Amino acid sequence: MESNDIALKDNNSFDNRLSELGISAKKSFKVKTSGFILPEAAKGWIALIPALIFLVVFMLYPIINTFVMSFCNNFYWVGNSNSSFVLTNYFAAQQNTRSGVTLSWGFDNYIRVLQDPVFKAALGNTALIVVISVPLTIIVGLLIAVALHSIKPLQGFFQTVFFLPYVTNAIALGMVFNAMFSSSAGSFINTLTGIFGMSPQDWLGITANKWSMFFVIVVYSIWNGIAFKILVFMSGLSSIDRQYYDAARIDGATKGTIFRRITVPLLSPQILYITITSFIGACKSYSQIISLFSKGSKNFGGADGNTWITVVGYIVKLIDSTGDSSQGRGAAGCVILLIIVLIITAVQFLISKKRVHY
Amino acid sequence: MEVRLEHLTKEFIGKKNARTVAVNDMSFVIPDGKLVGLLGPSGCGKSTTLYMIAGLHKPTGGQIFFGDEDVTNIPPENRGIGLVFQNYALYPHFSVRQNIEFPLDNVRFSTPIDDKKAALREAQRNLNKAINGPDMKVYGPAKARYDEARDALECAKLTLKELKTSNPEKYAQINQEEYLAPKKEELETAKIALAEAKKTHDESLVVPAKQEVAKAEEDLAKTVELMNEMKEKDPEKYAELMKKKMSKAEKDAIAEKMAKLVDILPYLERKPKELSGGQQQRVAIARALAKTPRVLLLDEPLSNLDARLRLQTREEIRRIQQETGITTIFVTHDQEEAMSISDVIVVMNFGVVQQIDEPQKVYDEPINLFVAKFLGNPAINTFEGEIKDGTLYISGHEFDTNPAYKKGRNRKVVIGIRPESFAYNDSGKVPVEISSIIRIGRDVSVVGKIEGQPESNLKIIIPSENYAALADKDKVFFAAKRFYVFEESGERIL
Repeated sequence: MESNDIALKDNNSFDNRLSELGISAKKSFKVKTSGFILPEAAKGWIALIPALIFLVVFMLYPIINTFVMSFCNNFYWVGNSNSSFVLTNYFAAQQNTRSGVTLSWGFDNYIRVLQDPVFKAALGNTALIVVISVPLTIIVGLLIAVALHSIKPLQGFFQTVFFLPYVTNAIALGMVFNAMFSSSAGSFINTLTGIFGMSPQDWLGITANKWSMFFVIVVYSIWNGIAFKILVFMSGLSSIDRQYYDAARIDGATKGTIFRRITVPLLSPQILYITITSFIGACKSYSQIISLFSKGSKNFGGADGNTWITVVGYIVKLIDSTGDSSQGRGAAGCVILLIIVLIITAVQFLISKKRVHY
Repeated sequence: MEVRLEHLTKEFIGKKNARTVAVNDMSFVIPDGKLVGLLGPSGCGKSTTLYMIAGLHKPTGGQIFFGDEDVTNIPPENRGIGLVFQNYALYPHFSVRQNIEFPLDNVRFSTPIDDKKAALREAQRNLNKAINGPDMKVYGPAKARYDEARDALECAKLTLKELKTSNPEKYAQINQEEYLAPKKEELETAKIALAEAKKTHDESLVVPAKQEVAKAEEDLAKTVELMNEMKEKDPEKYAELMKKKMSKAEKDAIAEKMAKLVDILPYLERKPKELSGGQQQRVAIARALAKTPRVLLLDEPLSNLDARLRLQTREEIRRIQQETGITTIFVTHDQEEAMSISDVIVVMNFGVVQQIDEPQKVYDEPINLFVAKFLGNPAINTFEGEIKDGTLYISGHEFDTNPAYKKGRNRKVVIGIRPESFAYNDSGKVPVEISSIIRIGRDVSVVGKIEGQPESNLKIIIPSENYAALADKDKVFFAAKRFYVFEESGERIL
């Protein structure tokens, strides 16, 4: 013991006696394994099968078919023309085309679509809706979210209020708007504008001005789209560390500076996500137009029912009619829209590389 | 800048109105240019105190002074403080340079014209106050006298009216005129006095206030004229005087100076996440120093660093503080950290200051049991003693006599001896049962218990030459070179 630097008084422990017998004093962990082991990759595929089936049947096949249809110059709808656009009809249509005439391929559909004045109008309308309503919705949504985030009392109440449009059906919302903006003198909006001395106006009817319709479309788009944006922004805001704001206060930043230089940059991932999804969503504008005018699935306002036709509306109209290769042209319209959306998204991603801070 | 806290109190009101007093009636002075450590266990209110000095928390009571200026109600941005947050709070989307320059971006200079305009506004406010809010010193007593006289007259009239119905006989006897005359007279005099007071007031306050406004207006006109003249003759000076923001060159110069001070010059263009923890810490200090604050505050500055960086950074903080000479207050729960760099330590517990002193003094002369236990690593050994008839006993063995023990009744006390205060010699009076002895370099570390006190846990560090003498022993008497005696409530006796 003299030579040892550690003088343990209690050296007769069980641990020592166990180790002399070659037994570890500590229990070691063992995991039971089953006899049959599937390779990892196989397990993965099995788990993926249900999703894959749905993806192939409802996504991949229609996409490929759309491309094929769009390049087929004489794709005619010969099946049951009253039936809607369902899977079995794909096969029926293709069989019919194949059995009858020989298929010819080319860019006929694209040329006809691009030369169609209605398509040009639809493209212009859609662009207008995208350019006006998307930035407006994002800015208003961001301001509301920041305001909501900075108040304590009644925050939950206002959050619920602003979230209501999200749980409301788009068609129902459109019908309510239609009633509120109706031309009759007693309608809600006309009563409201009447207070300020404006005469009753036809906002959405046949006699309505194109821009009054557009005003209603923009208001509807903001109201319909804002709930989700506020939700995303709020969650983004609450994930920003409070200390940044304390630090900014000590650094003497004003509220405006804090919003511009701290909040917006730190919220930029959410802003990018919302911008891309809303741009894509607005490019696909269709349901808000028809639900606003409430006159069926192919009426887009105005006397000719085409005043605010959108690209998707144009496609729906073509695909829902027969003869003259209208399905083929509809498919071409789809592909054109897809390309436009891809280009916009790519541009946004390029810009975001400089502006978004993760 | 001297920082003075007076009766500072902070209460947090939680759910169901549960009150938590984080800081309780705290008063102390932090001398100018010193590095001060607020030390205490977590939850003792030290960070709350720091944030109150910063202005991010509003005290529920008491005042904070920077020098002679009461800053209690001044918002943080106007207090002239720099604050380094525990996790630095560097803006992740800014480069290091942008981070340091951010406080400078927000600086707004006022031009001479702005100053004169502000002076005019102030003069107009004073005039309004003079006209609308009568100064009670001149006006008040006269007004009170007038009010009183008027009330007395009304009261007398009412009494008469009442008497008329309740006691008509007596009413008939009273001469009304005679009864009311003195009161009316008093009211008249009071009225005159009031008018006079009003006149004096107008003369003493309103007239000078009007003169002030006129002068301020004149000053403003003159300044505008002068600036216009300067604009033509000396545009450079004009631009300098009329400048509202700091120029990029000025900001860069400051940023570079700060970066040099904290030794991060090569990383100015990097983002915070591309830096190590210690470098981030230094960027945060640079940002806090950019506006040359009157007081620099650091919240747990070393807690996010690893052991090696901690040593290095604390020397760095000491160096920066000494180079700048700025009064610095930092919060820590690590006694070693506080001991090693502070000029003064403030030991806190339960929102109350326990002791304020130089580090070595706090260690050598702890004011109570809490401070004694909190400082020192390994911690001080404490065990039970007993005072009987003026003599202190440990487990029945006589230990010490002192006049201080003669006061009060016989009672149990707590004895504290620091691990290094033990000695092994013949005069030993502390009975120790040894459970293990370890020799580490120049020291021998003895672990044991006080005889008869199984729950006492002693750690004794003595020079290693004693090892041979101790190795075989089970029970030994150690001498205490220095010891402390506390009441069981924690108060120090000796």
